[in-house]
Amino acid sequence: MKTVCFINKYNGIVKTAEKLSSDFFIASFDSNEENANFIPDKIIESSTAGSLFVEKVVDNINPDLVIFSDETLVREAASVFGGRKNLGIISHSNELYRKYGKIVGRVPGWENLSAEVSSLTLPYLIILKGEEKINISEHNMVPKKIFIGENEEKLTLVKIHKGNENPLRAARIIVGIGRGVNVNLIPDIKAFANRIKAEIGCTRPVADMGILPNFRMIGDSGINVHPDIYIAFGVSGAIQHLSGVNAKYIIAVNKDPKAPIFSEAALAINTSVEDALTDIKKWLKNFSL
Amino acid sequence: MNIVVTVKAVPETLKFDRETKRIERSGVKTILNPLDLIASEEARKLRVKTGGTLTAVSMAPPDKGEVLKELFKYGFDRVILLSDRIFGGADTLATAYVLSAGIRKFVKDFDVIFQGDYSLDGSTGQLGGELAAMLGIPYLSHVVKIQGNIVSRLTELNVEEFSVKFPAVLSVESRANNGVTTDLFALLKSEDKEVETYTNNELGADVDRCGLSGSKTTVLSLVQNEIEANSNLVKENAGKEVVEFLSKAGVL
Repeated sequence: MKTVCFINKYNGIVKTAEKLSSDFFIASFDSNEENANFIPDKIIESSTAGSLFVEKVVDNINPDLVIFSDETLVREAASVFGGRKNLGIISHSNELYRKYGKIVGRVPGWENLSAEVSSLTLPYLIILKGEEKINISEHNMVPKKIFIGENEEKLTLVKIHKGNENPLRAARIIVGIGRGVNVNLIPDIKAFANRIKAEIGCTRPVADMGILPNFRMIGDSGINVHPDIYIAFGVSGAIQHLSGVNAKYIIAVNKDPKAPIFSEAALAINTSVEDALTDIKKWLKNFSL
Repeated sequence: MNIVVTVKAVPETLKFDRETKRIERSGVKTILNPLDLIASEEARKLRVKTGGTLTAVSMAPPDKGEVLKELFKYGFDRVILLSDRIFGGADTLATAYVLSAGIRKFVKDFDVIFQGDYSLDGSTGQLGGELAAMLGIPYLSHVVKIQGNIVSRLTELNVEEFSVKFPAVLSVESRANNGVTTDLFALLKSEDKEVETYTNNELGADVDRCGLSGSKTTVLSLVQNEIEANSNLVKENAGKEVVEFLSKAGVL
């Protein structure tokens, strides 16, 4: 099976492609990328140019499976390409595998259910989460330049206001705040996070209520994180949140003994967040960093 | 400017029908997709500045006309409901096709098409790009601000400003505003206005590209995410346990 991955800044999806097929290509939207089989002849700034790049690469190699990284520009290009070619797009999936003789994307839903979605058209187009940078230099590629041609200038990027890299992406320890945390306790959790040099993340309801800024939202509507340790306070463990947590160890604090997050936790603390914090503070005094 | 907003009627609470593998819509209260209302506010603000018309277009069963009527309160001049049995069971691609056909046929001279970045129920976020491709116009998502022909949007890291040659499709980010404002004058007149409902007899769309037969994705199965009860719940000495764990992991 021939596969091509479209990436921009993050290339985490390449891991999945490698597992699924040995015959795979990497196409980067970044015209300066060295570790790709295909790059555009100039920087891609809009969905118009992006979808054209996708079309040309797909024409070039005729793949069975096209995986798009879940980044703004790549996602836009995927939907424009799919719309133009009348192809189905499996979007929002956090896992990709073969089943029933098809390629299936697992899309998180509600009530702790996921949908296994497939496509009726070929090539399969799948938008897959995987916001990380992995090392792909060993593939030793010589990128082929794809000529996109002149843009029609219907969409011209005129200015960029630079933001900061989301600190959660590279964080080794993340403290997560869920709806089960009383707002009064947030300063204590922040102090604890500072003490162990952790970043703070949260669930969607916490961000939606304006308690923490949106860029700290983890999961389906937010970002995927890959820490060594994820310490979850008052997080129930809904699939929409946990789908974005790829941690080696989860420590969960929740007063509900049936909280789904406990099934994933290496350490399951079944007390109130307040009691746990008080006790943690007491014990932390014995350590100096 | 002649402004169009595509609006979806969505169930207020999300439940899966395990038999049909679809979202349960019967017996559940219907609301307007919250993000489409945020898009409507951007549309309303733009119309205040530029004049022109404000039209909502939706594809839904005929009984959703009632909830769509609410849009008149926000200053919409026209609310168009595309409703036909053959539109049923559509994925985003088939929906984009019917909406593009409806906009072409019933709105004609449009300058900009707004919608929310995603819908509460489907959450695919694909509609805008597909619609733009079918209409052959440019597309931007995560839009937070429109000033003249300069459109600002958010990416993972930055805010980007684009110069846009309209017509274009703009998907609006949830943080663009705090929701749609009721227009007092419109509110007074809203009772007299009627939703325009068209079936495929009037629309004349290609039946093979509508509804279930036009859909190119399929839900094969619903999978219950397995939850095993954790039998090792720590009920006391939380501090000691956490600190020991962090210490073993080399954090402390």
